[in-house]
Amino acid sequence: MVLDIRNISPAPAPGPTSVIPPTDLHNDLEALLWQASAGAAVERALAVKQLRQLVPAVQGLELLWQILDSEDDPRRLVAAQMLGFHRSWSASPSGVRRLLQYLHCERDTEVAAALVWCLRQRDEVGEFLTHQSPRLGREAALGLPLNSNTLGSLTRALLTECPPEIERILLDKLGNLHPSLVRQLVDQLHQCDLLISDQRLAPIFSRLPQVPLFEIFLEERNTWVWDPQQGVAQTAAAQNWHRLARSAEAALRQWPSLELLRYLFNRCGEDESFARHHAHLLQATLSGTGAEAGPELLDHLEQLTASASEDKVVRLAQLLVDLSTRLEGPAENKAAELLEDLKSRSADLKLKIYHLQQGLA
Amino acid sequence: MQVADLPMLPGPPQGQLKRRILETYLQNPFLDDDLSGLVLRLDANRFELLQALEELCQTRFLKEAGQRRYFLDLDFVAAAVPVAPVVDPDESDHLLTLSAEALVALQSPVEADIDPQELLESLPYGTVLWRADGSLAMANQQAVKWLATDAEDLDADAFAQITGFHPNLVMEGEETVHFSLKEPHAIEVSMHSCSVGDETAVLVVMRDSSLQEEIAQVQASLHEELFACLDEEMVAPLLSLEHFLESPDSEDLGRARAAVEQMKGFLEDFLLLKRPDIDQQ
Repeated sequence: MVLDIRNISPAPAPGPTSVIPPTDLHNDLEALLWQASAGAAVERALAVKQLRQLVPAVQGLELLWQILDSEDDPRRLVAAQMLGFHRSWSASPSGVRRLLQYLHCERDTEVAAALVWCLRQRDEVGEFLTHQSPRLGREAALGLPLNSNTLGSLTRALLTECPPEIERILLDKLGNLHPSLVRQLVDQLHQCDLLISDQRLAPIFSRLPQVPLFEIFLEERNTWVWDPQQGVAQTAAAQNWHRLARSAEAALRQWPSLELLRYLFNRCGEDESFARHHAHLLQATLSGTGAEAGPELLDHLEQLTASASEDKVVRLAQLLVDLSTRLEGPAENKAAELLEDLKSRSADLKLKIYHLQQGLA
Repeated sequence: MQVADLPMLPGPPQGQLKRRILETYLQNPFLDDDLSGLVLRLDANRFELLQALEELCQTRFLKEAGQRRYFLDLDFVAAAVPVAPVVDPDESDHLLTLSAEALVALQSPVEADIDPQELLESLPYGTVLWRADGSLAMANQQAVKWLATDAEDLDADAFAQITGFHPNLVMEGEETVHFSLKEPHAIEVSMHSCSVGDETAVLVVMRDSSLQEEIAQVQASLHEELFACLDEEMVAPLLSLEHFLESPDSEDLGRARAAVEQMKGFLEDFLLLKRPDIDQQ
């Protein structure tokens, strides 16, 4: 005889939730929401703790939506915050649509801000960056994910007169922009219909990753070459591009990052024409280098010159001489030692580096 | 819930920042921001914020979840919130009473019908609170008695004269200062900076250490007695032994034996030598 086990399912494990009938759960959730929104401070804290621990099922979520539906329910804020904490609804597009629907109709700023918080790290939050309520705009800026879908709204918000607090948050976020997105952002700035002032561009360019910025504006110089036959629109576009390039270059000169300097050192070592082409920029960036970056750059130069060809060493020695004039203390001594070490490699190098040190090269 | 609902507020360093953090979390107790999110939200220096968050976690206002996310510790908030109605924060005297109330609330749950001042007086601790300008905000009788002064005269300078430690020490950066006193009463003193409403204040808690002091004195006298005995019972026989070993002489042999016997007897008296009867057991 064979036991037919096809329809046998394991008995549900007895647990606190399985013991309580669904209606009681519903009532419990309602009661907790009441306590969390209108109870005494202690009750409120304990209720919120339980609301954080309880993951609402479909019925629970429905209750939260219903509370949001009613205009004068005092539990609306807690319901919105709970929706933001337990975001299983956001897995379905209909859930997100529903939230957006509530958000567009919401009049209470506190609740609306909580609903925007529900959308954190979702692309949909971008549309609220320029919301008339600064509270919503701020929450949207805090929750904005940086990707190709949200760059448009970010650029628009930065170029329009957004409140300083939102501008600060967005500019801070720009510092973490993935290098691959810099080109897209630059394109959006270029295609923007608004007349962008240099004052607005400078903080944007000062935060962006500098290596891609350098590549776009200073390395690829064939973009927007002047053509005498071009029309008005092309002329305007070219003018706009040159303005962007000027502003980007100014930002790179003024606030060069360690990453950019390393990139420039690498390229200068490898490519003589690059070194000649960007000699002025290099000097400007080196003059803007702080004392704290000096030792790191020195280590980098030491690595680059190890087992390098004589030509490469001469090019890098030029940078080293420039850098050593801005160093102090142990770093200065180390630079001098490194130069002496390079000199000792050959008589030719010794002479060339000596000329560099004397400013004769 | 608001920061004002909390009877105990985080103190310096970075008291303002800590309060801003708590305010943010109390506005949305479901908030689960990570460090980067909080840096943006609060526009704070990353390092300072991390330090403040760690201290808030240590003092259990917040708790850390995975991936450096921070949550409000609602158990602690619930325990810290006073059951009695909060006094109007505009009245500074009431605020100080509230702080004393909070002190008691932290040690034991206070029923709404118990007078916190009475409870504070019944504690076996001396408690004094000074405002930032050094004026006395509150002192219980125990503290006044131990410091052997009058409550009216007990400002920060008077305390410094009595103890040698000025309460400004904790206002100027030291978070907590501990020291002990033998005079006018044997006490252990802890000075903390704390916040009373928007003001910074210094809270001093004193604990009676007269029993410990008495025990320490008994131990000291025991040690003294032991060393006196050692000098008498051990040093002289050792010198005799040393003399015998340097120039062995049959005349001194008896004296050396007697010296060893004396030392053995002395050590047995002090239970420092293994005794045969104990070994047998």
